[in-house]
Amino acid sequence: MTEERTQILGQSISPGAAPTMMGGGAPSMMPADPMRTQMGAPMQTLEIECIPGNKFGMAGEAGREHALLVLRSSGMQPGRRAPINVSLCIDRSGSMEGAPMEYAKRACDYVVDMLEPNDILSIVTFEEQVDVLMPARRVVNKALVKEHIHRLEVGNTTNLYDGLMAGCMQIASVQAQTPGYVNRVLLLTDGEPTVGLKDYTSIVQQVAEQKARGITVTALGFGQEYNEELMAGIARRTGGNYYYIQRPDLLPEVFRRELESLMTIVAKNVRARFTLPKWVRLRQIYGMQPVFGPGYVETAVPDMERGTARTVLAELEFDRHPAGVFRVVKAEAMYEDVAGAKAGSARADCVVEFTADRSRIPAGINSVVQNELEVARASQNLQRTMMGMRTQQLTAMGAMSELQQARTILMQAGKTEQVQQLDSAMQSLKTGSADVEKTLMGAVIQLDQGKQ
Amino acid sequence: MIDEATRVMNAPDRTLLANAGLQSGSDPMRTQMGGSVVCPVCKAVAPLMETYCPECGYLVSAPLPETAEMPETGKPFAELVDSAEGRRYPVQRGVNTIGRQDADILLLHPTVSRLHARITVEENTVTLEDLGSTNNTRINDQKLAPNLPSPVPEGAMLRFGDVRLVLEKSGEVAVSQEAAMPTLAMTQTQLPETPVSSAAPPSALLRWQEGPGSDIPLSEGVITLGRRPDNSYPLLNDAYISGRHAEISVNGQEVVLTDVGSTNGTQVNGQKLAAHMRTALAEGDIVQLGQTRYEFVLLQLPVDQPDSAEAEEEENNSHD
Repeated sequence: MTEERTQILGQSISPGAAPTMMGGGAPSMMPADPMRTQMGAPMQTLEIECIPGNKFGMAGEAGREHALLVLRSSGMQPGRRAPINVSLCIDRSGSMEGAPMEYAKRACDYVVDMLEPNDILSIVTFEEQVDVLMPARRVVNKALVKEHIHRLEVGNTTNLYDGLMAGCMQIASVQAQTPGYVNRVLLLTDGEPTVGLKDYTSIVQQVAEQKARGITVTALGFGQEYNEELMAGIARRTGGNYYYIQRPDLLPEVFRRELESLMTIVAKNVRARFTLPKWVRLRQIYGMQPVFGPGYVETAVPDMERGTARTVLAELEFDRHPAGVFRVVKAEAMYEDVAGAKAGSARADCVVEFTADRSRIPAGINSVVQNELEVARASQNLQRTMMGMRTQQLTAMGAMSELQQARTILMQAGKTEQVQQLDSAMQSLKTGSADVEKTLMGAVIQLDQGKQ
Repeated sequence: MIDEATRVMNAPDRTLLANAGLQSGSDPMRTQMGGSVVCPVCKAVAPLMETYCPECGYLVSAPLPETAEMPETGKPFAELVDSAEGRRYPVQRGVNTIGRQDADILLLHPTVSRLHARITVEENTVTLEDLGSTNNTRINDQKLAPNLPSPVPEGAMLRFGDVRLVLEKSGEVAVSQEAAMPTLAMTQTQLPETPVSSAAPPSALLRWQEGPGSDIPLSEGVITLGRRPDNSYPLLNDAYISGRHAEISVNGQEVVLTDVGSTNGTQVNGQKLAAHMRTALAEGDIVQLGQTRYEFVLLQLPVDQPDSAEAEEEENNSHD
């Protein structure tokens, strides 16, 4: 699947637009050797490319254009995977009683089994109060840890915020001794927060601070009662994943999948920076939060797994340019190279030729960028659909037709995983099931995080 | 470091020669640190190794664009400034729509409606009209009735939902939310020990020549210049100075000036500096910050009681 996607991106390397293309335009220093993965030329952990929506712009006119930043991680297997520092943050409120709690325990067992001696685990549970079942440490005696897990019992209410913060603190408590570790909180809940900090804005603001400290939260929502907006906000702000888990028996599988993905992360704390010349402004970054600095705009990009690609789509605004070739974005990706435990960076230029000849413009359109733009708009429409359903301004029939439209676009864009999620949401809509938004949220987050 | 992701089209040094001819009035070799090149489009000075002008993005190795007459990239009439985010939105003449989707001024905030308001510039008057937004539009905390244009005084604080923006006319006095601060800053600079003079005796001086400023003593270390009071040397009287305008680092006899992305630029001997480019200053250089012109002079002798007039005298004696 990944291969297919890479191919699509590969097609963008159109002859003649040399300045923007990595891989296509070989550096002038080493002519005639575009093969970078050769012996002796070490492949960078991340490589980037920044493609304009149109390689031609109208000279002498103000205008708008998109720039697509593509980040690709090396597919090479490093000698060893990076160790992980993971905190399991488990809701044991009353509603988890029975099968959910049993499967949650089994899911935790799974995690314990998968860890290697170097990895660090902590387990925090929350109901009315928060308990640290196991402070952050290496797992020496797996049987003993599991014994503790199995003694868990359900309590009463849901103090999600304090539970989550306790999980983050466990990670932070050993961060200084564990440079190069992949940090992650797995937050499992089945309900609305009922005790402690409850409002969306405050919680999401607090988790954003955790992200600044290098901690990512994966939000695992289980059942029909959790607040998908809150869980999505937590995942979004920290660059973590969002899962909607329909049935308790799926819990172990989802935990396993998440752990596996953690174990293939090659770059963390990834930031994309757009440095803009004076006649260019950035209007927005689709689905991501831009931070404005002097002369540049930055956004956090979720951790990158081995051999994957992510995209960041920005909308630019041009002042009038004279005719000529201009770099409209100097793009940079800064990250922590997990395998080497060192800082890494990659650079690319987004170049547009401003021309007075209007007839050249249509030939410059880049289909890959157009494709990503369609996807970004589909994601915006999905969010509007969800809002309409929540406020009941949209009938089931109206929602169905909007989902159908989004499905068509995503299908054409080759987003098969999200198409499946849409299918599942449409099925729920037909049967009158309440989880339409929980399912859709998963698709929206994946699209917004630029996962390819 | 040569930008690997880019194909360098020509050897840049050819351009340097070409541009040396173009720039007959000034001497492009002067401020160089490891060689520099003058952008043929925006005339900013860029280091030789840059493929693209850091200021305007022009491929500097390309010849002068065939349309020699520059389109006037004229400044917008005004700007809406979001000081919390550090963003500036241009306000053009005519109608500017404001909203969360497809608007001219795009405010991505949940309290902003898709089409929230519009701001209209005619002649020299600015009016603002709420377009039936959910969370209202306000001018200086005065709620606007929907679909009724109201005049916007300069420097007014506009609110769209929870987003607060200040209207600043381009290149004019920023009567913004910072308006309250200068009084505080003033008292600070009038105190006998400003951070600059108390740190170390000045080893160089930007001697005032013309415009709304005064001498700037330069002592060892990094000095930040700008309109904001938290700069190590706040420049309060020149409206063309940005909040953070430039930085000067003094290391013995080596004094390096860097524009940190000011709106109206920094010039050395008539040449505009590209933002974030370090430029070494030499004795006698003319430095322009905003509307104020200075001459750069090195002070040979440490001055004991640096009162600016005295410092100047000392300096005069020590030369020639």
